[in-house]
Amino acid sequence: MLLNVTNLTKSYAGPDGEVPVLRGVDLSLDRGETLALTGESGSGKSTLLHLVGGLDLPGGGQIMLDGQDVAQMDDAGRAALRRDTVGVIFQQFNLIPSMTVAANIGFHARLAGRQDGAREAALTEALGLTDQVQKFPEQLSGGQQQRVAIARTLAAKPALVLADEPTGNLDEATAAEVIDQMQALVTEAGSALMMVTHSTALAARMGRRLHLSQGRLA
Amino acid sequence: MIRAGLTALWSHWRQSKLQLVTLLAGLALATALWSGVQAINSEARASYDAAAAVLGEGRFDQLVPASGEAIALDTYVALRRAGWQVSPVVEGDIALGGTRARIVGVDPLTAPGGSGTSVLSAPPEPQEFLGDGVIFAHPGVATALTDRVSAQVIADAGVAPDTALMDVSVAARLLETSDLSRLIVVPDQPMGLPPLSEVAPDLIRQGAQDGAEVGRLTDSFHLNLTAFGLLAFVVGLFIVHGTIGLAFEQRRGMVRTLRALGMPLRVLIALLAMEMAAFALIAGGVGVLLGYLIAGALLPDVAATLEGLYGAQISGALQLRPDWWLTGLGIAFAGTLIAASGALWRIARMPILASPGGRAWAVASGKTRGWLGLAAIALGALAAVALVFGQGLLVAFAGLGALLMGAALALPALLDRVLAWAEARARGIRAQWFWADTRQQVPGLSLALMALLLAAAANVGVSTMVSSFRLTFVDFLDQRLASDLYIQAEDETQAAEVEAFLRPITSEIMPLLYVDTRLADQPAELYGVRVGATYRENWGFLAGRDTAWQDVAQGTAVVINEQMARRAGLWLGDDLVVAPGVTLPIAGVFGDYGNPVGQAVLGEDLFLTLYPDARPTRFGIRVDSKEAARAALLEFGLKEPQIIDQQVIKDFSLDVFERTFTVTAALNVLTLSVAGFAILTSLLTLAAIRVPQLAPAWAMGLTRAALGRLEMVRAVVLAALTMLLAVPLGLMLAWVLLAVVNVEAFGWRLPMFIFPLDYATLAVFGVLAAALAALWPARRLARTPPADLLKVFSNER
Repeated sequence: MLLNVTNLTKSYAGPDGEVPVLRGVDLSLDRGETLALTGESGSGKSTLLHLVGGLDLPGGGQIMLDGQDVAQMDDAGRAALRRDTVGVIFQQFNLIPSMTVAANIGFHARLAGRQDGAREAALTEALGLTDQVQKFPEQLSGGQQQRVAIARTLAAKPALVLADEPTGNLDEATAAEVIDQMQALVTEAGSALMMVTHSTALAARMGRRLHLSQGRLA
Repeated sequence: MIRAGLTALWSHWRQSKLQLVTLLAGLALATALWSGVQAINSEARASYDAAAAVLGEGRFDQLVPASGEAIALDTYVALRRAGWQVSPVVEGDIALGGTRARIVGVDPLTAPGGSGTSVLSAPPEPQEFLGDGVIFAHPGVATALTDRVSAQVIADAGVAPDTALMDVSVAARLLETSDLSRLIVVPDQPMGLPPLSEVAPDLIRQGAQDGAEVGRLTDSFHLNLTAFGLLAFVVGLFIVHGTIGLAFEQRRGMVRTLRALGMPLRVLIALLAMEMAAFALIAGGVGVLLGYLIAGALLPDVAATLEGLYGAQISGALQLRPDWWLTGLGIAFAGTLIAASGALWRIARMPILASPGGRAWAVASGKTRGWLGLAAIALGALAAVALVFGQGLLVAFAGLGALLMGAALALPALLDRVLAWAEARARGIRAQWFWADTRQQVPGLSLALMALLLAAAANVGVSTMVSSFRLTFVDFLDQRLASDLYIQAEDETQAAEVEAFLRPITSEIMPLLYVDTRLADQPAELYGVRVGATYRENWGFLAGRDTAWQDVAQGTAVVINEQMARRAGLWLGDDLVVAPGVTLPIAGVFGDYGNPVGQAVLGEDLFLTLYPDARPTRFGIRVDSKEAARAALLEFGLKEPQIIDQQVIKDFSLDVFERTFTVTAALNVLTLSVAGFAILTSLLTLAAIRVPQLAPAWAMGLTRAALGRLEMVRAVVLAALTMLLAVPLGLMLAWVLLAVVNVEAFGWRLPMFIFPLDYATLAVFGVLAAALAALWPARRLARTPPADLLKVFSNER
């Protein structure tokens, strides 16, 4: 099993004390699997994604990823996890504004020491970015920036792709097309995909679907 | 991973070349001003050290004549026979073509280690040096000396500028004298020596630290230069702090992304620190080079100033001394570290999921402004305590630093209050928007405005100090050089003949009697003067009775210089023991600028009663025609160098001051330029951020040209307010330098004069600099394509 989450909890400090966001979540995911995580705003979807990706620390429970307990790792260990095992596609893209599209696409792979020019070129073409490679992110539309973020993650060949509303800036038809491409590329790389989305239509295209409500999986 | 990280960090600078240039230029300029000043000081000190080391000044006691200028050979022989271990020195000047050279004769066999020939780059064996052996000369005079002497002359950089070092017998021949100038006392003396007063009563022993060595005389000048250099560096530091802070803030998003993609925080911090270190190395290197050029350009003027004021000879050519260029690089690193440490600390504490946008750099929020205000009050209180109650030079400098930093930190809060006041009284919506928008810009411009405040205050402070010094010194010269001609007789016999000859052709003769002695438990010079109209009309007092000179003439009072008054804790009306059993009230305290030694002045009659053997060899005279008097004196048999025209000395001294002003003015212009540059860079970087702020105003009907004009007005208003605050701060700085630092360092206080016209001119220049700096960003803003302004709205999600 690639990912095994057990009794995961997380709270944030609020004006009236601790506000629980996740109240004992259990889930698992294997290589080649795709999973859609749906739920209302504030249900804890993004928080779950951040905890699994080692971007934040849980309040309790266990996250076993590729045989390692994420909650027990130090900062350097979690950095290595994000670099080598996980790839996060952020809602806000998080591209590096001073680097070209081409440099952005290859960046995570270079950081992980897995640079593969042919794969980057293939992803660039597959996501329709061939004419944009020399541009800077601010010269692209929101949808194009989102595709660059997807290409960057997939080029690094992570074992687990975590995507937070990766098609939020795209129209429905384009979003469906991009999701299909992403799914195909993940499967081809033998990775797993966990995607947060509001869209039930997009969720339906994933292998499995889980619904998060008030910090619990329904 | 390292390479990928460096590529990402560097990509920011590739995209923001202007910001990179700003950062490097700010740091380089700051380093240049600092290291330029240090280069001048370092060069001068090396020259003093070389000069002092030959005679072991500062390390060995010396025996010098109590009065007169020479020690008879017999006295030396008597001392040696009595067992005193002393080494003879013959000193004097000779003309070499168009210049003069200082001739120093030492005895290598008896000179203690660390003096004499040991200062040379390659000290010779004593037998090579003795008699007509080799002469070692500073490269600047070596060639000219070769034509004058038969001995071999070797150029040696270890010898002080314009100086030649040789055996004592060779020096005596060159200077045509059989007397010695001084005797160096070897530290280890045999037991049971007869006292000096018994063997050589005409000599006094001068302690190693008592000597009026030139380094101490010139410390005041160097201290002022150092203060200027430090202020200039602080101004530069504000620029660097602003630029680095901005660069880090702009890269918050990148930092978050790098961490999210798996770059460990420690590696990231290390890469950022490496980046800053590389910038410090590059900018520091350029700064040191620029500092070298600045110092090279200013050194001839400084050398002339120091020689004119103090007779200190320093090399007019600059050497690349490791101590100053290493210090220059060190200060660049330290400056970068100080400027970057806050930003690095914030990055280290920033959570990965923090918002990448947001926090305006530096002094952004009202909360921060509040903290800065509190820090400013605390620093102000610290400054007041240190300057009013503190003692010692270090405390005075700490007080000065606290005062300047406190004022700089208070600036954003003060500007905010003034702008809020203007906003409340604004009529019309456009004016209201203008003042409110200007208030919003203050945090972003704070560091640049602080730099302008400090630069302008430094200008006001240092200019006031130098101008006050000039006025005081001119007054002092008029006082001290009141006589028309100054006569130096060869000996007491000639002096008596000259005085008799002068009586019928002069309106006043002022013989100058003097002995070195100890007064109020400190080394002092005691003078005897013939009080006449010249003293009464020209010599003023810092504090004195109306009848001071009359009392001195009658032998019922003494007047003393400020140095003695402050060191001995004496003032008007106190008593001073001028000789065993003779105590006189102090009738006046006079200013005696640049002199480290205490002085007391008695009437001629009383002086001769106390020292009946003393005879004057120097006279000041008042005549109707200087030319006629000079001709008569030459006919009488005096040589040209024995007759000194006081006006020539006065003119020369004033010329020296003009050169001092050249140095100060150049530093003033450079510092103000640096501050102008800070404003330019801040406005340029703000201009990019301004688009989203101005787009709504444009959308609501303000033209781009009007927006550009308002940007200009805004810069001018902020600069004008800052300059208004800089003047009182500068005056406080001047007061501290004149009344606290100078007194702590040298024992005399300079009166402070105010120069309103100069400050007004400076304020105009400061505002003009800000207006010029604002011109380009305002023009860019006025020409922002409508598409860019529209993008602000289209990007909103």
